[in-house]
Amino acid sequence: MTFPTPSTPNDAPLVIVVDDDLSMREALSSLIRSAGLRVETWASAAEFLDRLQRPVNCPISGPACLVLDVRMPGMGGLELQQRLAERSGRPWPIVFITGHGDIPMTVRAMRAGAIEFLPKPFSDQDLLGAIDLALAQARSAQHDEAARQSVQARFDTLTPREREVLLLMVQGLRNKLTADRLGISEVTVKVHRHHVMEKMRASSLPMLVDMVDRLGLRGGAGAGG
Amino acid sequence: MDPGSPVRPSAPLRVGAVTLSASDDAQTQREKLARVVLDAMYQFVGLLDAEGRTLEINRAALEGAGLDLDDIRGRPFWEARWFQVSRESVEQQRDFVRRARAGEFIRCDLEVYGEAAGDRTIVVDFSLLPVRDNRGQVAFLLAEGRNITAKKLAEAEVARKNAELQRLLDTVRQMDQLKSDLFANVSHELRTPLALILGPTEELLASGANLSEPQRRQLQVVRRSAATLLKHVDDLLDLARLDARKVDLRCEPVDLAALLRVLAEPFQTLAPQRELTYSVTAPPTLPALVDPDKFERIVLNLLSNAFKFTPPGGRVRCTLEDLGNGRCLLTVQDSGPGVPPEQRQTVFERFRQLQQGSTRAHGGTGLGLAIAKEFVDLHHGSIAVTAAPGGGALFQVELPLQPPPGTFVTTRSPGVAPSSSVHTAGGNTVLDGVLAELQPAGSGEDAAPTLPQPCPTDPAMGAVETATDDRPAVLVVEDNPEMRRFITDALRGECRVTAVADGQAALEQVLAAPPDLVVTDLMLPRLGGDQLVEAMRAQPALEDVPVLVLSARGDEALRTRLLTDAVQDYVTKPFSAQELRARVRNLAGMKHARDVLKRELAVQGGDLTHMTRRLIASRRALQESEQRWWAIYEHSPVGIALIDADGPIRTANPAFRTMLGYSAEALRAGTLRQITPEEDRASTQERVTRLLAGEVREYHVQRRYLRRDGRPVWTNTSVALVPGLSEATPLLVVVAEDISEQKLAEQALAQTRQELAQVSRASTLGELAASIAHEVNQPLAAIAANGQAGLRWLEAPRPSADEAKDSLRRIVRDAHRAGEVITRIRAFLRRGELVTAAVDLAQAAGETLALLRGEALAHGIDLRLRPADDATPDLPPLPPLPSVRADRVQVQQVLLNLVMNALESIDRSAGPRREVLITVGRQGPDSVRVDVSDSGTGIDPALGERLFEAFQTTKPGGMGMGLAICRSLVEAHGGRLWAAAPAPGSGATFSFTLPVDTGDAPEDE
Repeated sequence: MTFPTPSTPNDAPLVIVVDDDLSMREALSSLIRSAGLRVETWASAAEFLDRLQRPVNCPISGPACLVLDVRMPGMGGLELQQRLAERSGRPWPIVFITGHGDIPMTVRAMRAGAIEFLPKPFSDQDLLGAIDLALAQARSAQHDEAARQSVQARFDTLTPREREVLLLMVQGLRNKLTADRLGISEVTVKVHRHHVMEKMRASSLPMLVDMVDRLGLRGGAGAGG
Repeated sequence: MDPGSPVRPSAPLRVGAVTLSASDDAQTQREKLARVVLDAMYQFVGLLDAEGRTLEINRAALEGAGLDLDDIRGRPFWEARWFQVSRESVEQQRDFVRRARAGEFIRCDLEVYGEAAGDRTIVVDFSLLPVRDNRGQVAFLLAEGRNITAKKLAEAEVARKNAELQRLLDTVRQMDQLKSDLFANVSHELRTPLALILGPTEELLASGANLSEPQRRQLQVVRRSAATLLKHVDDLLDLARLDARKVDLRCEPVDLAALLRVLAEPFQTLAPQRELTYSVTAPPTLPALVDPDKFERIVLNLLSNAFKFTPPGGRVRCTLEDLGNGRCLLTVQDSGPGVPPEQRQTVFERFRQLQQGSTRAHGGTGLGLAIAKEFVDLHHGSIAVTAAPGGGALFQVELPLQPPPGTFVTTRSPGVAPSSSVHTAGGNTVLDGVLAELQPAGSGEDAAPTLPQPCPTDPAMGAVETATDDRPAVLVVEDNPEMRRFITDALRGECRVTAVADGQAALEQVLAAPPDLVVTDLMLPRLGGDQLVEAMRAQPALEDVPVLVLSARGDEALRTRLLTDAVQDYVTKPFSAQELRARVRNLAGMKHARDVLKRELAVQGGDLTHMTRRLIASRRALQESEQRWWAIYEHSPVGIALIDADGPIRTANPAFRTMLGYSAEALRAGTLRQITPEEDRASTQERVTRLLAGEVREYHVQRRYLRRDGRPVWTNTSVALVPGLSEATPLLVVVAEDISEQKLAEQALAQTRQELAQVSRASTLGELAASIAHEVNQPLAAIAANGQAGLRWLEAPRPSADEAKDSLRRIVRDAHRAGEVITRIRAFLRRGELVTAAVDLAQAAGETLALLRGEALAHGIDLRLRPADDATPDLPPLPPLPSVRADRVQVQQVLLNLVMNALESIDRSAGPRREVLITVGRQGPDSVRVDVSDSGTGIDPALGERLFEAFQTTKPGGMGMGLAICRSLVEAHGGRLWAAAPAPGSGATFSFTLPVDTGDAPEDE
């Protein structure tokens, strides 16, 4: 495994290779770097998981994806995929490579959300293309997450009453009804509405709805409260 | 009772034909009573008239003759049945009647019919009494008869016995007389030749100058024997004379004491020889009137008896004392066996000896004491024997100092030197005879005979015995020392002679060391000759020993009996040395022949004819057997050869010759070396040497011979030493079976096995195809990736040649790796013979597992190798394992097979643990061991060892050869393959060992 120099968090995209075969690791490392990407290599899934537990040394901040060998002694690629899915935190887009090529494995991997499943030997284009896709997914996931976090931050600044008003607003309730529902005057509602729009930095109602969706608040389950 | 009427019965009384009743008057009654008397009488009574006609007969007489009174009443008496014994008796009776009628009283004994109703006769005391009337005329005749048959018989008996006695008495008298006459005649006839023997012999000895020592000895023997004989004759003659009362006392004035001393003197020298203490005690003088010759005989006989009977170490005492009453007492006392009380009278009788059958305790004729007694009696003295104090016999002779009245007395002056009319001229031969009887062999004319003591055996004097003395061994049994010596001398030259003096010693000798022949006298002390023979024949070991009997004239019956079953031959005394030798030679020769035959035939019995027949039969059987063996030898399909231990081939059968392609002559000229391929000669020699040294009795080996055309031929050969020959060079018998075909078959089999192993390898590899592909794929994919990376590095906006170079380098490396995998696979698939070399098992295992990793991963099974995978940096490294001697490919094949089995077993099981552990370690000092443990389904315990059999599989669709091949491969290397399963369902461990490489060069066939 190649451990990138610690301490400096790097937002550049990272490819992590897990394969028990040394030749493969070295070749992949060279290939991926030649594409201008950062690469870490690990000899076993266990070592990789271990590395994840200690983000202090080298936190992964930018977009990252995995290139996994399916068949490895100890924990195989598919099992690692499952483990990662169970964790909370960032999703891990995976490109599988394998010296065996069996169909059931492929299906399983894809169903579990793998980006690509490449039998060895593969062409560099196939691999790098898959990595690009994976990184893009990672990036977009990161954006989505970032966006969500900012929305969540804004939401967190709302007072409880404002949150109530918000929830009713996105349901399409008119102010009057909202006032009636909350037991406050219509005017107060409008004031709250104004604050909400401001705090949430929503320029339109549809935008607000989108934000609320993002937070997963629709359907009645409120965050906070 | 009233005399007038004596009986008055109340009722009628019937007695016989008489009825008495009360009404009878006195007269009638008296008559009736008279009748009762008559009828009841035992004896016969009858009344006749004067003419002799029967008037009345009593019942007894009638019944005796079976008559009725009416038949004979009125008829003449002599006609009656009683007298019908003969015509004479009838006439006689008639005559009696006539005479009785004339008044004569007749009384005599008659035989008449008087019993069994007239069928049997009895003897009666018969009387016929004339009964006169008052006028004096004979009116009646009274006949009476008393049965005296028994008495008569007794009388006859007595008369007969008397007659017999009388006859016996006459016979005895006659015999006695005859004997006396005989003795006298014979003795005279004997003495004449004896005189002619003694005389010249003594003259020769006296003249003596030209005699050689052996001659002198022989003459002494002659003289002594003749003297002994003469004494015996004299004794007999004396007895005859005594019987004929021709012996008188001729008394002289004699100083008994002096005479005794003189007579006792010669025994002084004899005593030490017989180891006896001897004392003579007498008063200074004892004048008497006695017959000196007879006194001499008495003394000598008593003394000689004492000496004869006293064993060595004993004592003899002779004393004379004056009793004072005109008698003197002579006592001779010994410490011998004594005379038993019951024999103290009879011992003085003639011919009495302590003897039983042919076993004589002592020599002699038994006349000594008898004569002594006779002489004592003549003197009117007395002689008796009692027990001596301290054991032994005490003879006491009491002699009056004066002779009996009427004895002839000479007035010669008392002299000391007696002369006896019994002597011949020259010397006191009576004394000589006595002494000769007592003395052992070998005395000379010297005064002091220096003789060896009588000993039980005389060793063969002068015979030289060498270690290889195969002359026959003869045992001579003869109690007479002279005779014994004579026989020994006669046989000494031709035989090894052992001599004993009595039957018991002979028996012991025969049992201890069985001789080839026994020569024995019949009359022997302790055990008689015939008893000896009997005892010998009772021993099966002595059955065969021939016996030659020395027989005297009178032994015919005994001799015949012995000859019939026990004794082979006899020779009668006297016999010549030549005759003895001839017979001995004969018998010994026969025994020798029999012994040889017995040995030859290994039989027990001794019948010569039988054995000869058997010998002939066995020779014939041997011949037939030889012919059969010859046939076997000639026609055997297996090669047989006889070879000298040092090489030359003596003979070989057709099969052997054919096998090697040689003709008979060519092979006979050949050697073992020639027919052995060069590279095998050393080992052949070594084997033969071991055989000759006796380290092995035989050996079996697979070896090659060299044919005439140079080709080798493989055989199973057995070689042994031929036993029982006395040749200088030992002989080997070689049996060789051509196994060329077998060898070819073996080779073909080995070939097939190799091919099978190869096929198995190929098929195993086939099963691993996917796995292998994976192995190859890995480096290939890396190569592809490196290549592409290299290109990118060179085409990048900022190209990096270094990175490109690295990529290329990695390409080269990975290409090699892929190449190695291919190479290994090819090696694994190679065909051909075993290549045995030193193999590092751990390394070989590692390579094998490389092929399998893909497979294991495919099944999700953990595959680990110990100690390699186990090495932890903390622990010290394990000592390296020694190499094993093996074919690398085959070892890998076995390991591959076992791991594949393990993977499949785990696959079939549903357990959570999926791992295969391969451990390589040491197994003792000589082996390295590999264990393949899996966590699979385990082994069915019922299978046991069958697991390793061919076509045994638990895999669906499997062929079942895997484990069988593995085992045969392992065992071919000298290792072992086995399986262990702790419990069904919890996995199994298959283990195999291989021998450590010792570095020796491999052994070639």
